[in-house]
Amino acid sequence: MTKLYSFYSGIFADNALDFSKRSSYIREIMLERVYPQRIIVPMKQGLGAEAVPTVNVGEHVYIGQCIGIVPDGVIGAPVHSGISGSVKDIRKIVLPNGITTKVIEIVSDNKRTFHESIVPRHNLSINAKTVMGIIKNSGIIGMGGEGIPVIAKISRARKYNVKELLVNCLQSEPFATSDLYRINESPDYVVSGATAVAGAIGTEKIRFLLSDNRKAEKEVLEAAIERAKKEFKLSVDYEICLFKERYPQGYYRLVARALYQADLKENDILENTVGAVMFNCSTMASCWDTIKDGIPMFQRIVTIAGDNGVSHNVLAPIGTPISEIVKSEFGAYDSTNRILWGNALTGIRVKDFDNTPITKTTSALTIIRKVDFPTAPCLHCGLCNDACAMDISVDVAYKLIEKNMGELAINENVLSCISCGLCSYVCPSGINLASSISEFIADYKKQNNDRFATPDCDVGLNNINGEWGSFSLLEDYVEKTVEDVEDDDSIILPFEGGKRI
Amino acid sequence: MISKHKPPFLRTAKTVTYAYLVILVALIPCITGAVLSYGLRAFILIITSALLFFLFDTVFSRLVGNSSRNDNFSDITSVVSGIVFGLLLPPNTSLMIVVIGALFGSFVIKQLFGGVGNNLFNQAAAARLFVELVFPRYLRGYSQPFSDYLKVDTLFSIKPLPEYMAIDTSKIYFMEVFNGYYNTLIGVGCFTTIVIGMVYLLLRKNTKPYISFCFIASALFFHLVLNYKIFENNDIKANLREIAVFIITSGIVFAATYLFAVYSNVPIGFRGSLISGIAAGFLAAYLYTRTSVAVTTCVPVLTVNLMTPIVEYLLPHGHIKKSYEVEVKE
Repeated sequence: MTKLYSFYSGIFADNALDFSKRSSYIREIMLERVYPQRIIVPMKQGLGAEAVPTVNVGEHVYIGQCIGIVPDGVIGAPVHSGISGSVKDIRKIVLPNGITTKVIEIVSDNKRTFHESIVPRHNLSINAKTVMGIIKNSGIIGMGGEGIPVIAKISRARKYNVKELLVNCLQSEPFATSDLYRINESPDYVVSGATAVAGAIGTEKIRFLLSDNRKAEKEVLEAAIERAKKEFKLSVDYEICLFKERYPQGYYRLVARALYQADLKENDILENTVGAVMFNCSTMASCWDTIKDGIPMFQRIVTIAGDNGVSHNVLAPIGTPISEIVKSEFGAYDSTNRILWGNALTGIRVKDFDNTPITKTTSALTIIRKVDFPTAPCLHCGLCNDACAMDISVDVAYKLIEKNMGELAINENVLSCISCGLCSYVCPSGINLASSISEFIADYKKQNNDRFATPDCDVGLNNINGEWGSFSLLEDYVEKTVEDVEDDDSIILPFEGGKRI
Repeated sequence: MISKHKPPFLRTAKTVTYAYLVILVALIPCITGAVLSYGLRAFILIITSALLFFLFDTVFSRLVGNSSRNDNFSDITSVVSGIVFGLLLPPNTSLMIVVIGALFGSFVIKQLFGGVGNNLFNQAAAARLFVELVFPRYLRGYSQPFSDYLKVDTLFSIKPLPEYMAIDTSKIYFMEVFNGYYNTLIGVGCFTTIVIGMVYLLLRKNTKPYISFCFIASALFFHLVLNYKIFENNDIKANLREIAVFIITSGIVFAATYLFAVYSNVPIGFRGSLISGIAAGFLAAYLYTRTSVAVTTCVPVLTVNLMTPIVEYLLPHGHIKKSYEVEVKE
């Protein structure tokens, strides 16, 4: 009997949050390609410093051309154009998650001309140093949500000499299927990307984390693994770990709890606790996109779905305004809908569709019907506590916060909140528990000078000092650029001999 | 005032109204059983009680200015309380008692505490105990079920009745006890229908099973302990009959099903439920041979209500989940 992993050990509230089994949340996995007339590319899209624009207004750019760079020694990711055309404007905007960043607005010339640097790599006999250099230059950041530059994560994993690479295929949010589409459509890219990154890190164990009810995805991954084993001279050990479907299982601390029985504290990371590093499956596929096809991260798959029947995935250039994506969705702009930047439970409502772009971390745009939730006083039912993955006494914490007794709320483990939104979702009284707690945590951390306090933890270039709390991603990064990393590990990736995939 | 339109914008369909609608559906078998047993007067008692609780709650909440009637929240909690109160009455009860119970339950127990979600005590149980203690001889209108289906004159008569006499269940066939063919409260007699209601609530995950099962199990345990002399005869069949009769006639299953299904008055966690359930079980077992079914049903519930804030305050919060230490590599 296959072992099923899960962070949840309760009995009664189980399956209530398995959105994959509820017909109203199941959507078709299809793909459309979007060719926007203009894009607005943010220079800062995830964790790290803002990129510096390398183009000027009026300049012509091509698909895949680097338009923003990050100086060496600074954590961040370069930015590439997803369309060919001319730079219309460089200005500052505020993204829905609060990040204030420069954006480069590019108007399409409709010629779809690729930059000359975009060429497939025929010789895949590459070593760890080369892989890291490619990944760094292609601007790949974690596509699962946090947006940590992959090169920074690789550096950290190398520092802690991790033993396992985890590929997170657990997409359990309602409606969202972008990662599942990527697995179904290009499983070889997911497996090969993971293999390449594992080689760069120096680990020989790769575990794919998948929900047990994703049978189609399991089969395609198994087949891709078999192909990879045959194609390459591999000493890599692959494993598919099946998890019980339950949102938000994919969060790294919950993965640690389920897979390693380890309770990570707020600032703990997988690398120095359980000896593993985790990447999103789409991130791994993007790594192989850039290693094999030479395509930097200028596009991504975004799920367009919601409770009004709209449902599919689109492949859109990074920076495509929401208006360009949803304009073809029948009724999306209806005044009875809300358009969310993100998934249905953690997404942020968007009002300015023309000036809100998708970024490298935007896995979904959710179109939700406007419903006035019936609100009632707290019934003391405890469903919020039962649903909370982080074991927070949500009802007590909420009441303490509402009564301005925040210090006592901290005793209720409130700082562990991961803002998954489940407490608000399950609350029969319709109380805004998650937003109250999140706002409190943001204020608290701001007061306590924690730079991870708010989504717009604007780490300007001058603020980088290599001491980013216990989260530091700059270890072994500030002083050593990729080029400086000694090529002493002699880890030759399994693509020697110039074998073509 | 609770603000609206904050993320997440996707919310469960299982709202408070839905939860109470489920309880309402779970009450239907019991109501049906009660009406089949006692006829028109039981029906009128239940309906009147539900209407009066709803009416008084509506009026008093506006008078007191409670915020529970905001937004588009359809408050049917008082209807549920009213039905449960009606089911806890003897069949020959005067409507005047229903009016007094509804007034006390709505104004004193619910609205003075702040309305829905803020009341310390279960509205129906508190109102029922109040009329039992203040007008004991007006709540002795027990009668044999399956007779006098159209009799309604008792609803309008106000006269004291004889003192309560505990039923001698040893003189009744077990199947008669099981089918409710004995003098009891109109909702408590229909054991099968209560079990159906409980199963429905469990299937809908609309109850707190910890407290219910702790209560029933500990009531049974303490019944065996406190009345050990009854079980000294080594007659297994008789002992089993005694246990079954206790479960059926004491009203503990009714309380566990319908009175603990109301969310706001019982502990959230397992440990709190265990402690409160044991205390309530002890009280039920102790009161069973000493007082009326109504008291045996209501006092344990109100005790749990009273214990809830204390237990919740004293016990550490959170679930019982395994915690694993992890070594951090520097």
